[in-house]
Amino acid sequence: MWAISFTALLIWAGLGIKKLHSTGLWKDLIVYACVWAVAMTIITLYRFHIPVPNPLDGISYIYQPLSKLYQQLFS
Amino acid sequence: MELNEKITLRQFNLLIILFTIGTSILLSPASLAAYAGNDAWLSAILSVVIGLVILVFFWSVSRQFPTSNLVDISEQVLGKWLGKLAALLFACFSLISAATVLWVIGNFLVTQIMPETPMMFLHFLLMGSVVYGVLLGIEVICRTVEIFFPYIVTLLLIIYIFSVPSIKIEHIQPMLDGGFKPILEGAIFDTSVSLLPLIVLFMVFPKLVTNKKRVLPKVMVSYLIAGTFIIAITFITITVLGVEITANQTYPTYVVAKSLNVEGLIQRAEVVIAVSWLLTIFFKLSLYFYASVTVLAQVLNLNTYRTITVPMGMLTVALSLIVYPSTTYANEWNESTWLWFALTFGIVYPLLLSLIGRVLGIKGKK
Repeated sequence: MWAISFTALLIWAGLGIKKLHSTGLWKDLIVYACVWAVAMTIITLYRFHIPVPNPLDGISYIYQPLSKLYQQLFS
Repeated sequence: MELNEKITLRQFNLLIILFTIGTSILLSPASLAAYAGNDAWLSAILSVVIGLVILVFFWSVSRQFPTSNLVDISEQVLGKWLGKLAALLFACFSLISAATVLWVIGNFLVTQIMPETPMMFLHFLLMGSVVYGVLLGIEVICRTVEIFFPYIVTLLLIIYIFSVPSIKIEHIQPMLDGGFKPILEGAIFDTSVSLLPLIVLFMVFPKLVTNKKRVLPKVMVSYLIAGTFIIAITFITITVLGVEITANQTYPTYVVAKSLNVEGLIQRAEVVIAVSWLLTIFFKLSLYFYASVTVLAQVLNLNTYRTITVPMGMLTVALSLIVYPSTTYANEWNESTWLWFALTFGIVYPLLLSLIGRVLGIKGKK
């Protein structure tokens, strides 16, 4: 089932790239391919239970000093 | 990229109502009860009051730049490259928010209604409808809002009216027992969930909205209507279930709907709330997603945002699978980080743009 879904998504991506290639929208084509590649990579890693860095951990790290201060204020 | 779509002020007001109700209708009572105990409903009222002040601030920013969207404002005020960078960060905010909202609805469906369906499949299914809506454009989403709004209101009113006989006022007594601090804390958190994300509507308003006469009173009334729904559901869940059950449940509104029993005639009405929630969250997710896609397309100067809508939908699904590894992680992250994340893009970002714009004497163009 996974292989079928993955192949279908790849074909879908390929059709989109072909269409953008024929219209000559190069910038759109590059962004389209990059976003699709990132999405497919994350989904594949998730499917095979390979840990993917969570963006929310990075955001938490950035805001850590502020959230600690806030917790102290309301504790 | 030029967005040539137009929506009416009435449609925009309906968007505000559904976007504000969005996830709050099902999640706010639990978080408010956890913060403020039996004063959760007072916390909800305070949250609406704080929200009105922030809404006036949003309105003043929109008046300062009457013909621009958020990316235009960024580029005009901060310059081309810094403006693009700030807008890109905003696109990340919208995308991550969309992914978290998608996880919330997927988690709700898996835990409450369809426990044997894989979460990934539900996410694809839900995101498919959102991607299709965004591909058709904001005009179509707004017309859908107009169609579904009466159904959503009716479904919610059914739950509200039939819950009234089960209300026990003693659940909210004594009032102000824990002091004002927990009420304020709950109100601040609720504002960050229900109002601050409205910043994504700056991709729609004021640029795409026609007939902008008497905007502020109309928008305030819309927000008050949405706020009334949230205050009412908080009051009902606390008075029907009690503080402890409300605070310990992930979806207390759903539990209230489950417990409805009108003379043995009307029972098991929980799917009523599930349907209304699916509809409101569809619009909230659509607007987050629309903002992330249009911001990215405008920043990168693409021909049209529609070319990247499908892969961005895939990316949202991919992110929704990894953002929250568990409900505990979601609760902890929301309590510790979400407030600051939302404040950065909901208050600090527009405030900086407004202040710098005023200092440099920049007014909206394009």
